[in-house]
Amino acid sequence: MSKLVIASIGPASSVQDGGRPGSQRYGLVPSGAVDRLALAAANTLVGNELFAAGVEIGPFGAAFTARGGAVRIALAGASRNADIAGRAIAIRYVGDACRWRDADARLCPRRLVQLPRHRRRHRG
Amino acid sequence: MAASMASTSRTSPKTLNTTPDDVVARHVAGNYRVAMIGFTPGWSYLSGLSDTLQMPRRQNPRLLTPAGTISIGGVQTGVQCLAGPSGWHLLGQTAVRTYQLHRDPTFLLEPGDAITFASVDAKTFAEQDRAAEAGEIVAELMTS
Repeated sequence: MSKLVIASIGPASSVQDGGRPGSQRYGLVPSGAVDRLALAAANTLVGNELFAAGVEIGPFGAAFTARGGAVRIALAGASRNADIAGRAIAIRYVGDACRWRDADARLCPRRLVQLPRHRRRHRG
Repeated sequence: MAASMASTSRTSPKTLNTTPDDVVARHVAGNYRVAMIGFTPGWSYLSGLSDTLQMPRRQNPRLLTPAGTISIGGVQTGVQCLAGPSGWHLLGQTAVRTYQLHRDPTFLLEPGDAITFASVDAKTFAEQDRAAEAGEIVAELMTS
């Protein structure tokens, strides 16, 4: 059975679905994805129900590993850089589905793209 | 109301100078209304607390108080459904779940509802607690 392994993930990340809105007056927080449009877009791209649970990634990115077979994922939401096994992939506004097998994928905020070590040192 | 709060804010629980049974007797004698629900699911803030039971909140809040806790904080009393932190003074416990996810109704109380309490012995509490866990509304519903 194929698995999606979260190899690393930054703070403010969580598994979220569409939440349970409508009972705030009883003290029940609605929870759910902050970016509901992105969750719906990503779920649509992989053929899920609109508000099936997904991994909502915080501002500092994440790395995933596919194990044991092909994994189909979709990335959606704010503009970010992403690569699969070092090969950059484009993410348009609403998102893209991609499929990979036994490879590592990284998702980074655009402004925190890692520079090669020697260049980074010069920038102090 | 402001004057009443000011006079009671100097009353610490130690100065109530009475027994636990007397505190319970005074508390169950009251007629309360749900003023608000919030903080955690089903946490019901009740107005109508006797002047003689009003007391400022604890200096050091407890990090964990049990599910079903009945407590006093300032001029209000309250019933919490879930275990959680609280700076209020704990009086006792009810088996009634004001919130139970898969029960109909999920939430038992609405703001404005009238509430009275009755004291029960430990055996009755245990029976009610089992029934409530199984989804029964162990509160007696009054019609107005």
